[in-house]
Amino acid sequence: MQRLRNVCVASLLVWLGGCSSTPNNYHTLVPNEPMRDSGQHIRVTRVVVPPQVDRPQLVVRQGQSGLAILETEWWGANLVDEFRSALQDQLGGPAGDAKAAVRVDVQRFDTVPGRYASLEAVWRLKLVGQAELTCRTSVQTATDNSITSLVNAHQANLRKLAEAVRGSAARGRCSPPA
Amino acid sequence: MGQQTDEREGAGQVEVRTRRWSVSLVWIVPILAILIGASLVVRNWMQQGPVIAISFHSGEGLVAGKTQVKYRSVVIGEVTTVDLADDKKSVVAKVQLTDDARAFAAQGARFWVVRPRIGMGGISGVDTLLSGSFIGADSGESKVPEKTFVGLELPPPITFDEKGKRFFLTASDLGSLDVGSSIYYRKIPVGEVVSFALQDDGKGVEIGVFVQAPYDSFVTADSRFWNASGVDMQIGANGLKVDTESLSSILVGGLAFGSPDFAPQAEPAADQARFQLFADRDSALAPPNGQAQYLQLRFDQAMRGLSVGAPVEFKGVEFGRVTSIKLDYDAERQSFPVVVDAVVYPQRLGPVHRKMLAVFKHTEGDVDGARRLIGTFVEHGLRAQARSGNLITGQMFISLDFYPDTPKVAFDMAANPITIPTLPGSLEQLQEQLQRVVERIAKLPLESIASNLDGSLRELRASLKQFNGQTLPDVKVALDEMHKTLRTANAAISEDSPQRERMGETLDELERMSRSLRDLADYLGRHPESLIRGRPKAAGAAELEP
Amino acid sequence: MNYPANADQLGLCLCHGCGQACDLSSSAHICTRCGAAIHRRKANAIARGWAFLLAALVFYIPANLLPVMHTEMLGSGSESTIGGGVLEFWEAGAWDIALIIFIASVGVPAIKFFSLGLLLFTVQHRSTWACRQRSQLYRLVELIGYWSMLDVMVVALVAALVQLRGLGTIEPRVGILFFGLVVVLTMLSAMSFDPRLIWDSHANEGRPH
Repeated sequence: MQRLRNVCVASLLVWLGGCSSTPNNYHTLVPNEPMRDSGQHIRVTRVVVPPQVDRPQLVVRQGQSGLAILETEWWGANLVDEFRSALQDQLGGPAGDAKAAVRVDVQRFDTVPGRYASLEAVWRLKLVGQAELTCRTSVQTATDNSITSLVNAHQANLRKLAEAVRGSAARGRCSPPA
Repeated sequence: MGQQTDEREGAGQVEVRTRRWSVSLVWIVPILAILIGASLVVRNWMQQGPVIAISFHSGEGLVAGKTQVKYRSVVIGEVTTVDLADDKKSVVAKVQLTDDARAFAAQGARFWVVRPRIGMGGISGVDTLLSGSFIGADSGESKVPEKTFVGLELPPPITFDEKGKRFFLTASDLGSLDVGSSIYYRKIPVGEVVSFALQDDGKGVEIGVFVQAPYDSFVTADSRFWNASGVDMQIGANGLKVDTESLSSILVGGLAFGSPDFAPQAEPAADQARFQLFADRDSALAPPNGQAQYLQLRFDQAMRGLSVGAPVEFKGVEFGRVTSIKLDYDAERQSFPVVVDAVVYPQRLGPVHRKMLAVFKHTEGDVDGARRLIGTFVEHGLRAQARSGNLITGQMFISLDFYPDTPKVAFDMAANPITIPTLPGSLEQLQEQLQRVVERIAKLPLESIASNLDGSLRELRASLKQFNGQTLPDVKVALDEMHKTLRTANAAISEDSPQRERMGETLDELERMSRSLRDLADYLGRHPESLIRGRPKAAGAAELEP
Repeated sequence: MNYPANADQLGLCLCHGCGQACDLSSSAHICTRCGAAIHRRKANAIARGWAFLLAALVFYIPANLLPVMHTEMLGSGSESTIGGGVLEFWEAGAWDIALIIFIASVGVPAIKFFSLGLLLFTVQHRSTWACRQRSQLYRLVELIGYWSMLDVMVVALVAALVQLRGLGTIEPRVGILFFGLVVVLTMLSAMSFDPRLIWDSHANEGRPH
């Protein structure tokens, strides 16, 4: 009886010991350098991303139709929130008296390891006293095989998108990113 | 005549035998021939029967030497010659009968030419179109030999030995009947009309009918015969009624007979009995009418739609009919009342007739008593009214009924026929009612109503002024307050209000929470073992392919 | 004048089979050359002739009175006698047919009756009147003898051909039987008559012995 209990406890401990989880790696879209305050405040009201990537884990493309969900590479928050906070950061941070508001519909958020990371979005810019502006931006950045470069590429894409929004807000019409 | 026989005999070469008798056997041949001829003659002579002469109106279809006389399709004779009679008014055909048909050369035998004929019973004798006409025969009953006959122009309807009974019917006219029209009993043809003749006084027609056995036993002394020809169609106050016996009776007419329900089981009628022919089944089978009572009714309105023969009803039971409709002139009132004569049969009302008689202790034929009875009824409100029986055909009928609240009318006991006071019909009543309504409307005090209305309107205006001056500003103030309140509320939920912002934040939180839950569920769906074993080893990021 | 002797005087007789003049004294009944029977004259010629003629006469009455044919056309039937048929054809306008039938059915038998009767009568009474013509008459009778059978043949043919059930049927009746018998009997009568008998009386009378 005694031995049985010992054996059970021992096996339980061994088994529990095996229940360790691999630690996760977290990534973020918000760049390291804070944004210069350009005086332009555009509020990001809503972001919609494609459902395939709308998850905390990174999703990469494999070939023509394959997807790989990287279980240990996570975004800092859900991709939607991550994107939104990063874009808002780029567009001057949230402000109460924002004169403009933008609503983003991300059409593509492709991560192709070894090739590129692409971002394609349709966004609606509402400026005070003006009609709503609907524009489309499509950017692509080349990467290599590592996760880090993939995330950096996405960061670069986001920056370009924010530039396009800022440019359109300033000019009052759709303008491509510089 | 000599016989050349060679008597010289040669040297024993041949023997000639001479006959012993001198007459050769060859004479048997003519003797045989004579015998045969004689037998033929004798046989022919024996088969021949008597020769008779039949006279017809025309020799159509009669060919000398060819036309045969047939009885039951057996040839009993042949026409030998067809000649004109001496007076050139008829044709005499001499007929040679066979010996078996000797009985046909007797009194009472009938002969007629069978030609194709379209008659009452149908088309007969069509086969004679091909085979040629022949003479039909029917033997008589007597045995007295007779040599000359008068041929019938039409085939007799019945042959002499057919079993059945003959009856005579009297009718006012022949209708669409003819010799050969069928007689139906329960729609089965059981006989036919055999003859018809005008009565001596010319006031009717006597129709002879023949009913075959065994159906003749159904003709009892109580049987009624009626004319079932054609289609019996009646449009009356009761509507449209169509009645027909059979298809052939439509085409060629027919009679029918039956026993009325109330007749007891009588024994079969005797041969040659007489009956009356009724016009249709209803009148034939109707129970006896009993004593007739004559009425006269005077109507003050137009009687369009009332026709002779229209029914007279008492409380809905038909018991008489209108016999005549005439116009009269009333000098006193300078009007033209319509005088309607009707005949009623009180017995048809049913038991009420008997009971009434018992109550008032009248006998059946008591005319005065009936008068007094009707007088009492009139006092109690018996009135006659012409009502519309059928709105489609517009036919009217006379209805007798009790109307207690009509004004009293004096009953003339001495009037003959009995006069019953009348009431206007339902349509007239409707008119009167309309009249009354119109009068009532005319009596309305329209001026006072108008003046009252005017006063009311003025008052209304005064009150409205008051309303405008006082009530309305108060209402306006209240509305302003309401407006303010709404504005405040609006501001509270407007775009920039802090409440709105807080709500948005809450929603965002909720959104994130639900997203997290969704991701968890998603992950668990992909790696359910992670609950126990933790996250699996990650796929090396370096093994990623593009 | 000298006439040549006739066979009777010389006692000769011609054989029917080979034509040889046989000597009756040597072989009275059989030809010495061919063996056929020799008949000087037909046996019982007159008696047989009369018998058959009488029988034919007796049968001639029913042959004419009784119907020879029964015609049924479309249901209506009629019987026709020879005379009736002739009359029908004549009245219908077909006088040629009527004439033919008349000649064949009435004319020829009448001629035969008359001729044969005449021949038999004259021979019986040993008349020498118009011997040559009588011989010619006999030859004529033999010639036309068959032609009366025309009627029988017509009836037989017609009855055999017209058998169209409902449309028309023709049946022979007993009259034609008698008519056939008449023809046969007259033929037998003609056959049994020996024309040499005509000349027997002539020989006895006209020739000096």
